[in-house]
This record gives sequence, C-alpha cells and structure tokens, in this order.
Amino acid sequence: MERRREGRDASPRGNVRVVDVETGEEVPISHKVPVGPNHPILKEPLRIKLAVRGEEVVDCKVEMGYCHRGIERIMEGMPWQKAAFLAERVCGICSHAHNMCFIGGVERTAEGEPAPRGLFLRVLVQELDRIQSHLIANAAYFYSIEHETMFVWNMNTRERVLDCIEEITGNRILTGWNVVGGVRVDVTEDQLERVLETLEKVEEDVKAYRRIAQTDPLIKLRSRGVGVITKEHVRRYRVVGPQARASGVPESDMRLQEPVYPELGFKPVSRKRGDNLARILVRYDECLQSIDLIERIVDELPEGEHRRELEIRGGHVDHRVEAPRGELVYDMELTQGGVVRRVTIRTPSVPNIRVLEAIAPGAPTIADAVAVYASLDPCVACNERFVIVDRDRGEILYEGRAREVMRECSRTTSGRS
Amino acid sequence: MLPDYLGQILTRKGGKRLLDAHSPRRILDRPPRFRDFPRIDLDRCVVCGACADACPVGEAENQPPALEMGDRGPVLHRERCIRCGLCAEVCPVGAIEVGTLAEEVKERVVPSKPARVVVDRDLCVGCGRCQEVCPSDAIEVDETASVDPERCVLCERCIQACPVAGAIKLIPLDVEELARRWTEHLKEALRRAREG
Repeated sequence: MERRREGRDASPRGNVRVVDVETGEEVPISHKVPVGPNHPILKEPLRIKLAVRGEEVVDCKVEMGYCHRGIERIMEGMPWQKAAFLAERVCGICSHAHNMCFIGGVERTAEGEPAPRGLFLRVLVQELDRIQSHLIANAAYFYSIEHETMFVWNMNTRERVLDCIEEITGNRILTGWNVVGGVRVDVTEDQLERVLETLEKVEEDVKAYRRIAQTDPLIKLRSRGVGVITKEHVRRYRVVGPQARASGVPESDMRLQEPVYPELGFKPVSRKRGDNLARILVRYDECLQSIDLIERIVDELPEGEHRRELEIRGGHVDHRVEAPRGELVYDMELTQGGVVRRVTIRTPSVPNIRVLEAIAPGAPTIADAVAVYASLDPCVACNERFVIVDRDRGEILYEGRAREVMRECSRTTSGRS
Repeated sequence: MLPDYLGQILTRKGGKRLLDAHSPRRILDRPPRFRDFPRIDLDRCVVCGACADACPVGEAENQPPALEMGDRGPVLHRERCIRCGLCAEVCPVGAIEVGTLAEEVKERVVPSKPARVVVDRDLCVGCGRCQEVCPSDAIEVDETASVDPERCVLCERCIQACPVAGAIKLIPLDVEELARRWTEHLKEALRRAREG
C-alpha cells in the first residue's frame, strides 16, 4: 500500500498526518515517537520522527542540522598544506577518503602527473581505511539489533586493521598521508610484510563473520526482508556506496573511474536483495575484496619516487572519490599556488540518510526501524551543510549576497563570545 | 599461591600502577613512525619562525595557534596540537622531532628567503670560525668558506664571528626580479577583477 505525507502547509507544527493515496482516507496513528536528537542508539545527533500504529511504523521523517561545524567556511583562504589536515577532519571514520579527495582535486589543477608509486600507496591506505570503516559499520548494526558478541568481535578485528594503518602512516585515524604529487613518506618492505601478515588473520575473521551473518537464525530473523531499498529508491534518492550495491547497482562504485583501480583488475561486488542483511554481507564482501586489492598492490608496487613536486595552476575542479560509504564529491575553486577560494563538500551520507524516509515505513517494529537506520551506515557530523535561502523570493543564494550574510553571521557570533 | 593478576596488583609497584593513572609509562608498543607530540630542541633552534607559520591550527578566526613563537623559540600548546608533523617537516635545522617523520620526509618545504649570505673568496682567510658557529651546518671551509643557500637560515652569526670585516656579506635578493613578479601578479589580479 502506497502512502504519502501531507505537505508542510497542512501541518504547521510539523505533526505527521498519513493519508492513503488510493482511498484518500487518513491512516490512523496511535503514537508519534521521536528518536533523538540525543538518544542512546544514535552515535551522533539527529532527529528521526516516527509515526506508529501499535508497533508498526507508518511514517518516518528525518531532521538534520544539530551538528553543523562550518568546515567549508574555515577552509576558505587556507593553503592546501593546511587545508588537507582540515579536510580529513570532516569525518572521523573515513578521514583518509576526504584527504585523498581533496588532494586529488588539487592535483587535477596542477601541471604534471603525480608519482605512480605515491598513487599506489594512497590506494593501499584507502583500502585499509575501507576495511576498518565497513567493520565498524557492521558492528554498529549488530549493536542496534542487540547482538553484542558480533559487535565486540567486529570491533576487535577493526583494531588489527588500525594497527596496519598506524604501521604505515604513523597514526590510526587522522593519517595526514597524502600530499600533492604523491604521499608523505615511503614504505619499506618490512612494513608491507607485517601488514600482509596481519591481513591474513583479518581475512579469516571476516570470512567467519560473513558465515555467521549468513547462517545465524537470530540475525536472519531481524535482517532478512527488513528495510528493502529497491532500484526505484536508488534512482529517486540517489543512494550511493555499499547501500546501492546491495540493491544490485554495481555501477555506483566510483572506483571504476579512479586512476589505479583499472590496473589492479577491479570489479565491484553487488547483491540483489537490498535488505539489511544484503547490506551487511556486501560490506563483508568488500572487506575481502579490499584485502585482495592490497595484496595485488604490494605485488605490483612500482619502483621510483613516492612524491613529485607539482606546480598548481588553480581553477575550478570537481573531484569524486569512492569513500567507504559511497561517492564523495569535492567541488573546489583554487588560486594559483593552491590556496582554497571556495569549497563545497557532498558526503555520501546525505542521500543515504534521506532514503530512510522511504524504507522505514512498513518496518514491523520500532526497533526494526532503528536497525534500518543503523544498517545505512549513517555519519551525521560530516553531512551537515547549510544553504542560505532568500525567503521573499524563495530561492537559494550561492554567491555575492550569501557571502555577506555569512560574514554578518560570523561577526555577530564572535561579538557574543 | 596467588593468581598472576592478583600478584601484580598486590606488589607495591603494581598497586601504584593501578591507582596512578597519570604517571608517564609506556602503555602500548608504538611503531617507530608513530607521530607523537613534537619535541623541540631549543638549543638548536634558530628562531626563524617557519614552524609557527606552518602550523595548521589557528587558521580560523578567533582561534589561537598550537605553536607560537616566543623569545627563545617555539612554544607548544599541547591541548591544541593535532600532531600533524608539519613543524618537523619545515624546520630548517632539524630542531623539531615528530617520530621519524623529519628524517623520512624527502622534500622539505623551504621558505622563500629575502636575502642570501655570500663569502668574498679574496678576503676569506679560511679560519673556520663561521663553520663553528653556524647552527644549520650550511658552511663548509676548504681553503675558503662556502655557503649552502638552501640550508642557510640567515641568522648572521657567521658575519658576527668573522675576523675579517666584509668577508661574509648579507646580500638582498634581486630587487628588480621581485618587482617584476609583483607587477605581473597585480596585472593578473586587475584583469580578473575586470572580468568579474
């Protein structure tokens, strides 16, 4: 049964009325359940408004905007050497992807090609980052369905992967690894051997977890057929990343268009069901695929310099990278020499959280709706952006007047503090 | 016979270790590349200010930087430091240590210098006093002294130490070249402004 929500005008206080599209009758609601902004199940502040009839979820609405940090504004006027460190602080889990996307964008405005060895090492750390991000995403899902054993096991394995990242880059999360023209420091054979040794154990673990997720009756009961994202949803909400690949859209993988992956013979994985379980399994599949890619990178690592000096010409650039959660976009304007003039970031969680409004209604229980939310691998802090809207004209401002409004806002806030 | 874990707690040292959470001790084995807080060797510092310029903290409005220049050298504020290691990368004399980063980074970001130290070979007597006082090992003496301009930090200690007046000079870089670059830059800016 299709349902739609009445417009904002019909409900000035934001109350939810659910109307059946076919009959035109209002669907009775027993309760409205707000989840958040501060709630034990949410790692980051976000409000999910659920309308329920008994235990069945009838309607869902997502409100964002509790965690805006203004990183795009702070980044304006920074040289790339400093802005790269700020870029990786956009997200606390997939930080390397942000660093890589920013540096890749700067390199596209530069004269000359970056060092091939540097590009391979960059992808090596990116794949390690993807494994740890997928493991924490699955752990968060298992925690939301109260399967704490799998939560602890996944987090434990993630620690081993973080050890690998620390071995290579010197830090566990905020790596500071990429620079324009390559990577910061070279790796040694010993380091790569130690990483491969650790990854052998990680591979065994991940295979075991995938087997458990496929066969465990309790996990199956809570996950199979819950929160199904169809291809129609993928088209309508622009779902990206493993969430889209679990619904049978392997073309959504941006790695197909990135430089190093074709040389490694990369093919994206996908599953067809599109439910919670498929999303969990696709993440495990991608972990195993990343381990394969890392082994291949170590085999085919080109010799030579790891960093080249490039001259940055500046200009407007739009760069995309496949972050662990999906397609990440940096739309930047740079001056000559690499000072950021303007930057707009779109993180993959923006479309991925929005699709919850479509798939949470129909969930059999409230707990299932929360599990659906956790299975989307949401990252709230990185997707908080703001737009300035001219209310008289009803249009979004981009340049000129928007700058003035932002300057005025920063002046008033600094005056208060 | 006590179990192992109880035995560790019941000894004097073990009990202290349990109670005292703030004592400096090694908790985990860190890899050699681990980026800890920068360790600054003030004896080697030449107070050039490159590290404070490079620090990415404090770029936003109303936010103080993590590394500030004091009278004797950089002052680190640990509560704001993000351990990026840029200060160690840019230090011209290697006075800052962040793991093994300073040794491993191949290309150092050399700040553009406004002047250059030049030795007059006719006047130089090859006494080697300048080599002794140079903080960045930029001077080599072989009959006469010669200066490596990339390592030189323009501290002028060699000029003060030199016994022969005028043998070592501080020469500003080509003024005409600088003027030409600035005119080009201004022209470009004007052209962009006219285009909108």
